[in-house]
Amino acid sequence: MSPYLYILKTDLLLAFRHPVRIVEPFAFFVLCIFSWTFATSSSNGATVVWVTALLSSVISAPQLFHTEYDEGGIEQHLLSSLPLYGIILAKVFSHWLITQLPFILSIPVWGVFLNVGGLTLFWMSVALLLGTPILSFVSALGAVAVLGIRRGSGLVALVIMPLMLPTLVLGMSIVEATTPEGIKSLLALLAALLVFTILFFPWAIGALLKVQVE
Amino acid sequence: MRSFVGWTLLPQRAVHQLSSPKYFYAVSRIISPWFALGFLVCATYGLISGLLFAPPDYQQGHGFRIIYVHVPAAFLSLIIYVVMASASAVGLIFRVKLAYMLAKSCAPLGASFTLIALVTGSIWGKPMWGTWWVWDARLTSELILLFLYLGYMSLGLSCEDSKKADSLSAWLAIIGVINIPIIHFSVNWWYTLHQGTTLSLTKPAIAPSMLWPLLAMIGAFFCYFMWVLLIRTRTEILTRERQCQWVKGLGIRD
Repeated sequence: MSPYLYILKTDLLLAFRHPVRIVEPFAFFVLCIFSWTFATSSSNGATVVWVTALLSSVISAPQLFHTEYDEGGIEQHLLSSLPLYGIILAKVFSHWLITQLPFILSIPVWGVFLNVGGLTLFWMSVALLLGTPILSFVSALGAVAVLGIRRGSGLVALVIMPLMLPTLVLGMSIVEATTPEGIKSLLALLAALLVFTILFFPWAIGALLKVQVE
Repeated sequence: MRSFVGWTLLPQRAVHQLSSPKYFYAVSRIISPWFALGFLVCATYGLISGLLFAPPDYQQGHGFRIIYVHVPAAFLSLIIYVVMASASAVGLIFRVKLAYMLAKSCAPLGASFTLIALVTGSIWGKPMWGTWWVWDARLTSELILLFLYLGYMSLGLSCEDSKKADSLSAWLAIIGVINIPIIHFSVNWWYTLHQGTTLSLTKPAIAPSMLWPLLAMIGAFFCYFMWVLLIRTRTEILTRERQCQWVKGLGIRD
């Protein structure tokens, strides 16, 4: 088995042994959507979903590397002969699988509550599939930046929210776009942003990790 | 040939000397009053001719005069971020302590200029657009810039290990400077209400009698930035190197 798959498997196994790590972000999503629709009578479904995805990403960020940092797992990753790039890719991908994917999969259910359906819901799910990994990478970066800082959860929001804005803007625009061409061009931009993120963010996260343990 | 080699080595040596905090402290003491003088001269000319002698705008009347503060502040807020990120990169690549100190001293100045640009912009926006704030591309970018500055400063402040704080915030500054164009591009998707760029190299959109005071004000703001940056960096050097013999030899009391 490839070592990266092994890291992925370990993280998923840990999450399934402590299901609260999966249930917590999911419950946060659901509660956010309910309270939002209660509070605003004429709510735009896409707004709620994207802001919720952003918030849940920010909230679940600190736990991404925290345990490993405390237990010395990060030093082991740095010492291993594997490229750090791949390790980080596996870690962030497993984090995305645990915190974001359950919600995206269940989105047809929430579409009923939000009055979003049909083609709009389909394009929204595609946009979420492309956009939420970007959010996960950015929050991983924030998580690494505040490792070892007491009460870092407020700080992490301040550090990463500005970097998440492009994703949020593109995601919102996709639902507001009316023509198929408009939607497709925006999706292409979002995909480009995802490629850019996958190329450069693991590298930056790795650099920050090295600073944190040196 | 030897003289040629000597000539190329000389600037290198000067750069190496200047990157030592001790030399920088001595040199900046000589340079900084000149920036103060430049600030005074430019600001006096810019403010007097801009506020009293420049003709009122044919659409905006006297209200346009706020650009003599607004445009330089907005311009500097971006320039300072680039300076900060470049200094951070120099610090990370060449392991120069002084570069980190410069970057750290840039941040509060940049944040202040960003705040000034936002506040003067909204004071201008109220009579011209009829509203203090709109979610327009340029305004949003500027607000995000403010948050980037605040994030940079608070990350540096909350990390107890100062070496770690330097490297971490340097990385954050570099990531931020790569993201600024993306943020600007993405918020441009919205309809923009902001007027077009006033300064352009090819097609000036402003009369010379209004332009010269504006350029003078940009010069004034830049000199002010350099002046205060040097003062802040000197203070930072003294704080960090307070255990060094040369600082103790200066005879400064706490």
